[in-house]
Amino acid sequence: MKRALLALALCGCVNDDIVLYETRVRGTVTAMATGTLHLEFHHATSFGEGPLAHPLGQFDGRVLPLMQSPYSLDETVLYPQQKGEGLVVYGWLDTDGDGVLCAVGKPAEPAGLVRVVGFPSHNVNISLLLDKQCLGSESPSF
Amino acid sequence: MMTAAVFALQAALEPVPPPEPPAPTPQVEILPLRTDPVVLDQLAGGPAKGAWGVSVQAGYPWFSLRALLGVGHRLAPLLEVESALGRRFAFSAGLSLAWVDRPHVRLSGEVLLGWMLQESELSRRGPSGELRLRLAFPVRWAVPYLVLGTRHALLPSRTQIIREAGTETQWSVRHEWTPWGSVGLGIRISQRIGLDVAADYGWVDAPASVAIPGVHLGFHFGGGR
Repeated sequence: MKRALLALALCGCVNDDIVLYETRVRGTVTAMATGTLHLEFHHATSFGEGPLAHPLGQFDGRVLPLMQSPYSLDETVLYPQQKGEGLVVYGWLDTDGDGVLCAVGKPAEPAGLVRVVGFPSHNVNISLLLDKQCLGSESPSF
Repeated sequence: MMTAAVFALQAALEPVPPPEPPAPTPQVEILPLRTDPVVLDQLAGGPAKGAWGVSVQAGYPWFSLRALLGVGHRLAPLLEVESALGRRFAFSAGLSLAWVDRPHVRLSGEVLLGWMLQESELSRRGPSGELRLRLAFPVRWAVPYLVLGTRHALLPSRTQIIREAGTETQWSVRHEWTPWGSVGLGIRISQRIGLDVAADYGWVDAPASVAIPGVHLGFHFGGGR
């Protein structure tokens, strides 16, 4: 009852109306090394439509220790529905612990990207293979 | 019997004394009660009973329309519409009460409640309220004045989380504070017409934002005085 009264009182006065879609992302992350896994959750496209749509758009991220490969992934994310479409998971492995992907003078670090098929769904399964050296999420090679 | 007739004749023959001049009629001079010029009432608040006034203040970035009606004891209900560049609007109703009312000093307090609406890249809307102090020092035709205010708006937001088990709705409210200051000069043209010019500083969403000062020119008219 209180919620209904509050909703009535505030009807027409909402400032931010945010819709989040909860998704549980499960699967594996495979790499040839160990280190710190930097995971990024992106919209596949954000801002604009058709050929003018902007690719990617990070809305969440995780930093996880990856001590064994394959690593079992089980993360729940809140997907902002009004900000874009599609779901992309990108990851890179920080093998030297500097927090920077392929810093100058440092060894190459593996990265990978997967476009989630079957999204939107509250449960998705992915298989993320970190096999590309030094590629950022925006790389056209993905 | 004869004596009485003589006395009557004597009385009839005596000259009649001139009538006394009539007592002077008391002269009453009707002096007008001291009335306050509309520019003072509008800028300093708390008009006398029956006095009303309307103010239009236009400038950059603020524009306002304000009306007061004195109902006695230096209390006046007021209505106010304010806009910033035609994108932000506040509609308020409130009360004005003069606490100090002397020939050369007037101090009043105002309380307003209303609704705030901002339509732009950063849209905002919600209930608003304000507490305001007005201080003026009228001297002849000039009314130097100061306004200090603290404005508050509540900005509700809604977040819906679509879970597998159903949709959960969460409400949150953000507080927006706008301290306000104006300093200016009112000019009495007549009891019913006046002007003012002032500098305004309305710091919207303080202290998280940056505000630039503004300026306005006001026209005041009214009656009942």
